[in-house]
Amino acid sequence: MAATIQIHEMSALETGVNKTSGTVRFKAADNSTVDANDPIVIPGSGSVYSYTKKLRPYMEAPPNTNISNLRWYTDGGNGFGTGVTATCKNLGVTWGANYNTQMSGGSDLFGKTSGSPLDGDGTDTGPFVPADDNSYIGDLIELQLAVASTATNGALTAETLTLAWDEI
Amino acid sequence: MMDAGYTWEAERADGSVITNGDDLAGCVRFSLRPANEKLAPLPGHDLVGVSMRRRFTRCFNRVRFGGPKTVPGLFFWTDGSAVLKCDTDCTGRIAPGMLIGKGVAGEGWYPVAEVNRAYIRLALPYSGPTKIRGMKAEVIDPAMIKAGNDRLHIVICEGFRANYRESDGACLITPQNYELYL
Repeated sequence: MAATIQIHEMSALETGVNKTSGTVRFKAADNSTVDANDPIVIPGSGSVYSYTKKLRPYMEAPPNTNISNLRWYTDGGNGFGTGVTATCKNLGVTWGANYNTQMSGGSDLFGKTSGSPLDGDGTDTGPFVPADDNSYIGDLIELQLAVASTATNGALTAETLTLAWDEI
Repeated sequence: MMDAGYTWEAERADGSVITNGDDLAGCVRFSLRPANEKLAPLPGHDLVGVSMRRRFTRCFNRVRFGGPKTVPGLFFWTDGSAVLKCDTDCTGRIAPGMLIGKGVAGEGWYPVAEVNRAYIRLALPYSGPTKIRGMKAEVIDPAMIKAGNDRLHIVICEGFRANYRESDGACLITPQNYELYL
């Protein structure tokens, strides 16, 4: 039977909410609620940063044999327009509180493509087996949105983050 | 995650059939069959006459980020009405084809049919509490609503790979060591 792997937005190392096919809402507050509260306001100069978001895969139903090769990537194109960028990094299995200062050691999220993805199991390496059912698998990844003074109003193009894995 | 669109089986030369694992060495047939023909009219596939090595499934889950954009102003939502009044000129921020919502978790999105300086006409009547939603609404690109999860059933053979896409049943043949990602 095919495994069910969910993408969870995390509030602790082993606690999160299912956001598969849903929306991760970057905002000026540390919560996972998708609403219009706490928008990121375009600054008069410089840049402002959203609270970081942490994602991790969750095994909701097990595979027949195992799961491996977890990776995260985008389509390689930043459709947000001028002044809006996104960064990412792999945190392994080390949890830290979300923050709204500039992420250190991150890289361009849109530079992570299917050919050059963000590793999803560099620390918690797997392979992940049926005994891992109903638990978090793979590494935490951290994301952050930055809005510069050059950003403009208007509807943002929706962007998609893909989690891929191989299953036997 | 999407329900499985296909089930698979492979047949060895002695006629025995396997439905688990990844080793296809010695198999003479690999087949994909729709898991539920009533729900998903997918084509069946049979791979025969080739030297098979192994199989696995490559899965893709997607999450959206960005998209919802706050529109400032006072919005007057009236239950049963397709007319959404606003106190500011939204013609520069909202266009027909967008989806608009109150920006409240669990509330629905309504397609925008017309925008002028005094009101927004929805393609469907609003259903919910009649109220003034102060200071903001949200609009998104309709493309956000698409789920986009998918699977590839991959069979590695001597000299090539067969990649079968679960969402539409399409097959793509690639070089033996080519790693296909959607």
